[in-house]
Order: sequence, then C-alpha cells, then structure tokens
Amino acid sequence: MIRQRGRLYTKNLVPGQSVYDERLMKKGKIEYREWDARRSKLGAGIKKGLKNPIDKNTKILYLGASSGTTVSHVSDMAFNGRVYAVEFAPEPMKSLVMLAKKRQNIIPIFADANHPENYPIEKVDVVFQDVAQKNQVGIFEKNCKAYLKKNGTGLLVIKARSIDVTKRPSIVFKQVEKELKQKFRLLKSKRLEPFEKDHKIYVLKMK
Amino acid sequence: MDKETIKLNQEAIKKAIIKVKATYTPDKMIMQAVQALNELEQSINTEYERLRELYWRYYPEAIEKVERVEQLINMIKKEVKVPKDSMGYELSKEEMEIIKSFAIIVEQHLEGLKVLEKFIKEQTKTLTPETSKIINPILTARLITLAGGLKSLVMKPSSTIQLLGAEKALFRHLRSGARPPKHGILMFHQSVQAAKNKGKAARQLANKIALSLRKDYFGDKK
Repeated sequence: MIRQRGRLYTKNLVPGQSVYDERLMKKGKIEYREWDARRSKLGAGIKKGLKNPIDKNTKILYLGASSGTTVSHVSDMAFNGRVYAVEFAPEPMKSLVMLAKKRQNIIPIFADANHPENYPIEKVDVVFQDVAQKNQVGIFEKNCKAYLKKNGTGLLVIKARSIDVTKRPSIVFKQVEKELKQKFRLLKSKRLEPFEKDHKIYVLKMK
Repeated sequence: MDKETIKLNQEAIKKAIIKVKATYTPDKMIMQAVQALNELEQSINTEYERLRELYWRYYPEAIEKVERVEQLINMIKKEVKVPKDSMGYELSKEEMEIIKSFAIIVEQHLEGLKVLEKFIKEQTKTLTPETSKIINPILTARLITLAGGLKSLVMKPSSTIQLLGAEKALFRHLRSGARPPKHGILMFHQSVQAAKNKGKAARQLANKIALSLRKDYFGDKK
C-alpha cells in the first residue's frame, strides 16, 4: 500500500482490471488501484491514522465481506496470504464469488458469522469484522476465540446505529468498550467521521 | 500464491455456488417486482406531469379538466383540434410529434405497470392463499418487501406488521417521544380507511394478517 496526495493506493493483483470502477494509476511499471475511504471502513480507518495491519503474508478472516469492495484491497495487500471472506447474504455473495474467481487468494465462505464453528478454515493473523448486526461484539468474540492466533490482531468496526438507534452513539461506544475490555486488550480506536457516520474502529489483541 | 491457496479457493467457490443457488425462494422475485412497481409508479407520475406541461402549451383549457394519465394520452392520440378562442400556441408538426411520441412512452409504461401487477397478484396468491383472502395480494407483496422476505414477515409479531411502512414515524417516536404512528402501509386497506378509529382497525387487521400468514407458511400445504 502507498499514499499519494492524501489518497491510498494498493498494488493491483490483477493488472488492467478495476473492481468497483475505482481509478487505476500507473507508477513506473507497477499498477495501483485507488482505495476509496468513503466506500471502505478499513480504508477510512487507515486514513484516520491506524497502522496498516496487513502485509503480503497475512492470513485474514474477513467477516461481512459483502460484495468485496474492501476485500479486493485486502487481497491486493496480502497477495501471498489468504483472505477468508465470510458473507451470509446471497446477492452480495454472487459478486464475491465472481471476485474470487479473478483473485485466487480470496476464499469465499457462505456462512453465518454467528456460527464460526461451521466454516472450514485455519488460525489466522488478523480478524476483521464489519457486520451491521445487533450482537456485533458477541460475534466478534466468538470468531476471535475460534480462529485468531495468540498474538494476532483483531479489527472491529462498530456501527452504533445497529446496536441501538435510539441511543447516542458515544454512549453505545462506551458500552461496547466495557464489553470488549473483558476479553481483549484495547490498543487503539478511531471514529470514522467524516467517512462514515456513527462508526468506530477498534484495534484489539487477545488477553 | 501457493498451490494450496489456489486449491482452497477453487473448492470454496464450488461450495459457495451450490449454497447460494439453494437460497432461492419465490418471494425474492415478488419483492423485486414490487420494487419495480414502485419505481414505475413514481416515474409515471413525473412523466405525467411533464406531459401536462407539454400539452399545456398547446391547449391549456383542456388540461384543466384532465385528471388521469389515460385521459391525457387518449386526447393526445386523437389529435384534438384547438378552438380559435384558446390561449394555446399553434404548434408546428415537429413540436406536436414530440408530444405524441412522449405520450406513447408513458402509455407503454402504463402497460408495464399492468403486467407487473398481474404477476405480483398471481404469484402472491399461490404463495399466501389465506392472507390473500383478507387483503389484496399486492398489499401482501408490499408487506413481504418491507419485511425483507416472506419468512421474516411471518416471524414478525402483529404489532410490527401493523407499523410496517411507518418506520420513520416510529423511530421519531422512539427517539423524541413524539406521538406514535397508528398504521403503516395497512392504511391502504379499505377497513382501515373507512374506520373512525384507525388505530384500532389497523391493530385488528394486523392481528388477522399475522394469523393467516402463519397458516400459509406453517400450515398443511394442500
């Protein structure tokens, strides 16, 4: 991943093709894809100052892959690793499968993130989760317990509005942090404004 | 990329394709059709307004009396002659041609609306025969669409069914304590419209819908 003029770019794994109509940029002989922070919460987090947790050998479990916008950039960065992309909605899954056909380090899994025991995978270095569910924290705990390596990093995006729409986001985040601190060490957190409203991203390690 | 990753990738793709295909249910097409219906209705409305504006230049006195799209389209197709004392402009042949071709487009959209309605009616009737006896199948289809599928609609309590389509008002109520909504999309049903006490009618109707939906979904299939 590189930065240029405040924009993020990842080295294109499949040169010549853009995934979601993002811009391609040539720098020397290498082609890069622009990483739109408005469409990707991981991208937004990195733009707000998080360290990029993914290198070329990373094995990552990605929960809430949707149609693969962010997943495509993760697969760019972890070109020697594996991206286990979990999604439970059939329609976005179709685009994800098509993406996985072009990018062979993506392993699409059609499963419910509530039941991590159902997916056939190994231990991973990074767990990233971006699901808009009421029990986001519970899902994350279950998955980390099952698949995150001892020293691995957990990245959790919380959408306050899907935990409780009627409460103020800052109150929801406080509750979430209290819950998280029981099982994790909280390394860093960032609100995702102005890229996403009422979202916060957490960087965690297992206790 | 190592060989093992590629193998994993290919196996996972095969599995995912089979699993995704197995998720087909007939309500999915109904929901898509309902959304198409909504969009088409909206666009016909804007097109109708534009058509009125166009024809207004030609024969404003006649537009005054037009109330429905079909009336206007018929008038344009019949090429009504404008009386001498009208305020309308005398339009050239080309200008009239534009109005006419636009009217034909709107006519085709109306045709499409009918096709969609027929499809939704028939499909919903076979999917939920009992509920369709109580309410118009199109209303059932709209409820399914709002709930995000037949299964999730069936699982909802009748109080939720009562308020489907009134989410904005409901959350305004929850957030700021404004007065709660009495009914959502059910207000289109004649029994709610005719009732004096609309909240009561909507509640009773929702109750019966919830019951009949459960019979449709869980009951013995004939």
